[in-house]
Amino acid sequence: MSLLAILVAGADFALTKLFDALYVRVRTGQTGGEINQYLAMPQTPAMLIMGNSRARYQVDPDSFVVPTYSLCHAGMGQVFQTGLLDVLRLHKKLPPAILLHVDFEEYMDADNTEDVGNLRYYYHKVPSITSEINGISKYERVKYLFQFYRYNGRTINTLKNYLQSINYSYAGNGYQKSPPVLGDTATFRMPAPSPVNPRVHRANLRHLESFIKRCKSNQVKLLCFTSPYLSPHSYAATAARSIDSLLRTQHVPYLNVAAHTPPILMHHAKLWQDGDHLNELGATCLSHELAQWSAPFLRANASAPLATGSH
Amino acid sequence: MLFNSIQFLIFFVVVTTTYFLIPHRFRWFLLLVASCVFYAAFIPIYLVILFGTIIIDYIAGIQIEKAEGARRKSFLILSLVANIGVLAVFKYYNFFIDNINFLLQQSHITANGLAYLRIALPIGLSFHTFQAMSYTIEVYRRNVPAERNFGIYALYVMFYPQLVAGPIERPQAILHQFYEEKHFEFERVVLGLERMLWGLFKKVVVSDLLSIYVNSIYNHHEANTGLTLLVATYGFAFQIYCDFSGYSDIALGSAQVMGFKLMENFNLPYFSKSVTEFWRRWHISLSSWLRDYLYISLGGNRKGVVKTYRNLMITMLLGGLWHGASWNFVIWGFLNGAYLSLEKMFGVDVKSGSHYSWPYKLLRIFITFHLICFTWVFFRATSFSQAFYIITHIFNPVNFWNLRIQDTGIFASMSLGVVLLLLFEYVYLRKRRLAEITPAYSWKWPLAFSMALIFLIVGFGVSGGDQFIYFQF
Repeated sequence: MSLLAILVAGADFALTKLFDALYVRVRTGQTGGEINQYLAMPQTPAMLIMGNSRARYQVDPDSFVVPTYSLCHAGMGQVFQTGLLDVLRLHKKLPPAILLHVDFEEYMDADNTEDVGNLRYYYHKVPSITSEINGISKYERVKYLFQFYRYNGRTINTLKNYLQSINYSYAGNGYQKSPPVLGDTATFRMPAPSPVNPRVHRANLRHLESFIKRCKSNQVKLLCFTSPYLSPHSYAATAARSIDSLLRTQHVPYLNVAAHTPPILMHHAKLWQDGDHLNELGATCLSHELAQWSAPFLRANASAPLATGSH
Repeated sequence: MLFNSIQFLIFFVVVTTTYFLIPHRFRWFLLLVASCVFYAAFIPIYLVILFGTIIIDYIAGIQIEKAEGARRKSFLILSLVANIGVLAVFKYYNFFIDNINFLLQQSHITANGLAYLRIALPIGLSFHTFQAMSYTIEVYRRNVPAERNFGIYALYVMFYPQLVAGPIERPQAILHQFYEEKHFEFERVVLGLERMLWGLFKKVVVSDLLSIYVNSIYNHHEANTGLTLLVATYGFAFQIYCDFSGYSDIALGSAQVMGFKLMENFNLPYFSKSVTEFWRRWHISLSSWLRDYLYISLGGNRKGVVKTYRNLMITMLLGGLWHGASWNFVIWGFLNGAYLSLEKMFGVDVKSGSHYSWPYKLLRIFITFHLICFTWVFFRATSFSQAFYIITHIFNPVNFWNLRIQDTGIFASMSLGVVLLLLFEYVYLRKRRLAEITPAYSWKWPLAFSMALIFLIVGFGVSGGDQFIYFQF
């Protein structure tokens, strides 16, 4: 039994070292490759776009007045974005400005911190990530007694992405275009399912508050935006009030596109991928809107205090 | 408390260590308390229901043994009514009301219908109810004496490794084991732990990964067709096998560590060469229960050809209903009953298959597997219309080859899991026993086997995955 324990510990160490060596060379895929790609860039962009799929597929970095890069991860909530910010800080890759997408939907559910598990490579490397992961359940610490657990569920992806990264070079800006498809546009306008008694869960706002706090302490200019819906979301107004109030209090420039959607987007279903996502045609309109709005903030001195107003 | 949780790991280590540290005379009490804690971890109040039937069956067992003639039978009936009554209320009442309401609505008698019971089904109800019934039936048949120690009888029903999903034990096989003093035997403990690891691998690596893919296809079945639905159905066949047999492996392994021998519940069912053989290898404790207490009680094959087929159909239909209160399970049972009847009718020889050439064996395994997969569609589907859609669209030639993979990482991991499973089971098939492949006296094999399983679980296991499918039964 003790021999087994010693061998398991040794194998755990060796396997983790092997996969660590592979992981840092990975440059593709959403399981860390895209983060590594950004970290490996020789120059930090003037602005970084962060958020979930509604930022990834809807905002073209080339539209902005400063060099911009998109480091968005589909399906990842604010807890992930806050953890990612700490990863960028660890690697001294914080940009002068961040354009953060705020998604109302994730504030309507109970605090869900499981997304931070996708940054588990940084467990024991970034204290805030370690702390959030430990908070997922009281047994997380036990699982991470195995260092190799940091690759749980991504062993094959790491190997695959490593092989794909061997002769890979990327010169893009992180933007993922979503080409128009022929879809049943009538369904886009169907009301989205609404949670029972919609209300903003305060616990979820703490991740956004942490993000703002970290940006302030690191002199990163933060701009926030929401994106439009074609499907009516009955809870959007409830969420908007809380988010609006928080960002106003924190003096964060904020463009609530969900509340003030350009009419062209609301009248042309062909600009949409589905009820919540614009395709690349719609993304051009949204990007243009965001670029115009953000230009005054970005032209200002990056070291100046955070801009106020513009809500 | 799920077997695939760290909570159970801690529970198991504490209970097993204490078990070997305390004197033999206190061990049954420790196991009984531990079983109560294990069951109460799901829904504590259901312990009351469980103890209610335990008390009735305990008293009924003693009275059956004491009584003669009609009185003897009346105590058996009392026990069976109590057990089936609990099943009827908790498991079948809403199904019954659902069908009554449907008929009332169709005949325009009333639009409101009868009220449903808003209660959760106690975990593993069908398992411990059947185990309790086998006790009173065996006492009635004078195959075992009635158990006088209430604690030991309660432990017979509640023994935590097999409490919520079997194997459904017989009293003559397990009761005497609670009286036997068990010693710590290194080889047995190692084999038990290995078996637990193997079961955990089946559950968290193979079954839980497959469930991600299968759920994504079955829950959006109308968006899929052809090969995608076929692969998802194959996936479900392995998912349910690994889920249930994985549970059984952990149950048998954890009992084995403490020195208890539970009955084998699976014997490589997908290597069966006929459906008849499949049912001798799949959920053996239930199929033998149905055979011994239902099929044979109905007359078995002793009352002519027609009654044999009737008995087979009744047994399998009730076997289907045992799994769940839904018409899908009834159809599933009907299909299996029909397969068994047809095989009996055409004299499909299953016992003397050793002389078959291997291509013929392979063909029969292939056909049997597909016949079983056909029934799994009804088992997995949430409604008859969903099952009908899936079956008709699997064979739709339009876009047949368009396989939806979604996440390549998950698809590759689950494929690797199934390949490792089949590879191991093929070796297992030839070697017959795990102990022969990894003999504990040779430290190298157990070590290598355990290490491989540990790192497969750590690297590929789904954390916080689904609960075991059979818990709902």
